[in-house]
Amino acid sequence: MNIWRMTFKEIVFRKSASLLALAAVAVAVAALVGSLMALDLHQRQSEQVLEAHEERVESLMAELGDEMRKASLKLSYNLLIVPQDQNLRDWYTEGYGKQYMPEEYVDRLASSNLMTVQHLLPTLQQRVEWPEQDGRTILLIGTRGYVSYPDQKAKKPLDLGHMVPQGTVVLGYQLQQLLSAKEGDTVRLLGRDFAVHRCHEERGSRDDITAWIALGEAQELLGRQGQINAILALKCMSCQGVGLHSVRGEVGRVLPDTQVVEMGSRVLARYESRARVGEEAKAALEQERQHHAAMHARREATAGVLSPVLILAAAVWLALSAFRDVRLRRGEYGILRAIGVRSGRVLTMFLAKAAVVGLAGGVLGYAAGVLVGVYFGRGAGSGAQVLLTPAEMLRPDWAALALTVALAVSILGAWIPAMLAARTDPAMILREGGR
Amino acid sequence: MLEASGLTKQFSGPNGTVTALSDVSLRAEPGEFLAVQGPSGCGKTTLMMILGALLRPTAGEVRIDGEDPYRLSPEARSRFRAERIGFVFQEFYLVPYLSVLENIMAPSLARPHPNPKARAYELIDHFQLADRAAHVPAALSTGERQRVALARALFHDPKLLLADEPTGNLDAANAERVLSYLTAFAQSGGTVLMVTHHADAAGYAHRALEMASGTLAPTAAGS
Repeated sequence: MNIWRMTFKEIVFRKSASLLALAAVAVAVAALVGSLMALDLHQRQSEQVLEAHEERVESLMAELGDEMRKASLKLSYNLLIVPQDQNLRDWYTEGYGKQYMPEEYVDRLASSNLMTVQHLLPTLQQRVEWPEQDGRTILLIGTRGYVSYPDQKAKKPLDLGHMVPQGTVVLGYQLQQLLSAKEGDTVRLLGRDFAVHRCHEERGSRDDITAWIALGEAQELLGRQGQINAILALKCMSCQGVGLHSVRGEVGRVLPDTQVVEMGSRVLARYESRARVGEEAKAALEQERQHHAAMHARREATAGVLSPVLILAAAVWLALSAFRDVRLRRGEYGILRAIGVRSGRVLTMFLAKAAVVGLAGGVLGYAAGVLVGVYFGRGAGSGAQVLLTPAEMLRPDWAALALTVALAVSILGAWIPAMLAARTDPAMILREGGR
Repeated sequence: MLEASGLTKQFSGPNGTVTALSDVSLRAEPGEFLAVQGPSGCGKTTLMMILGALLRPTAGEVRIDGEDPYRLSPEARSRFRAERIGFVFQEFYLVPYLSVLENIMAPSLARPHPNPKARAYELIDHFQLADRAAHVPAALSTGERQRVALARALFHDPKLLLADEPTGNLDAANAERVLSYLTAFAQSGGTVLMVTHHADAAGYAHRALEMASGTLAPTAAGS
């Protein structure tokens, strides 16, 4: 016969009361563990969602960066280099310049090895009347094709239809229509015969009334030997939208008496657009992160109220149950005290029951809390499934917390009734017939 | 063996002070069976509680085996009761969830016994409860319950057995059986003090005292 045997027998004897007390502890512990588990799951789900989002943003940023790089390659600068004294208003009005510079400039620029400037196209342009075609005004452009840098000669030359062999002419659409010309036909221009090298499709621009011939022949026909009035630098390299200013500076250092005009760069605009998209994606991610944090805080606050309320309710229930127990067991305590059992042992008997109920309730509550937490944690998430390993589900720190809370609730709930039982005067109980 | 002198007990309540015992003195020797008779509320149970070291008297002195238990600390007094006094009550006060065997062994919670189970079975045999050893009190008859209570009271082989209306809930046959056990205890050298309002029960005692309004006097027939 010992106190623990008596405790277990008493618990079994008063099954209903013991089960109710156990259920109260289990519910309180389940609420606590369930809250912790649900919060943990929510945190994991949030992290999972945010990680996925972050990955998407990173992937988008990488894609944008790649696109930007490609776009930068494709959408390089087109520069127009004209003499320093060329009035640009006249250039835009006439479509060509009336100031000239030495053809040698293009070679000087090509041999300067500027990395950012390439595909140089020297031209001599002038509006002329075509005497063989009733004085029709056309634009005559002399070109010698693209001049590549010395170390790029091995590469395939850029051919945009500007290579015009000696003795040939390239006709714009309107001129071809006028002459009904086709490749190989002979056309007479400014008193000289040219074989038609190529005819352009309609472009809807002044190119349609343009005739291209070799630069040397144009210089001869126009009386401008060794002169040009523009260098087009096409597909100049760009470094992600920066460097136009420095490109101008570099060209200016090589050709001091020229001016450089940018022709329709879209690189910078596209770069800025891409950067804006990236920033918006990052801002959206940050907003989502804050939203998840706010939701987590709200849930923590709810759990912070709900768990203590349930724990308090359980403690009150246990206290009431213990008071009832004391009343029921007055005769038992009276006779035990009468036959010499000390009050400390009576207190121990009472608290031993509370400890057993508390521990059992703690274990049950912990198991129930884990299940409830997993169930609601998944349901309450934002769709992401979080599968927990058994080790994650059975966390020793939560188990320890559950058992500590269960024991504390049981023993605190039973403490005052137990003290009353231990201090009750046995003579009084026995004189009252155990009532 | 049992000596009480000038015992007075007063209870204070909302309606003033009530004197339950007034200057009561008695003496019982080893081997003596003493009965205290009287109507309900005359102070018999209060006297028994005081003699059983459960209720400190307002005045007077109790000596059991030459020792005054009220001079001891509460813990020492508990040990004193466990070693020297056995109690039997009208209400039995058996622990409802323990078996007959375990109820009889309950005093071992207060004072260890070298061989509690053997001692319990010895008492079970003595009180003819062998076929009831594993039963809980709810499964016993009232007579059997009182025999279990008697067996529990004798577990530590006390010097003094205090019985408060031990036959109050029993039929005549069971009452006679219980009284014969009390007589046997006295014959074996123990001291029995029984309070009862049944004259028939008191007839088993060597000596009967009459209690009325908190005072004690020999009965006309008691000697």
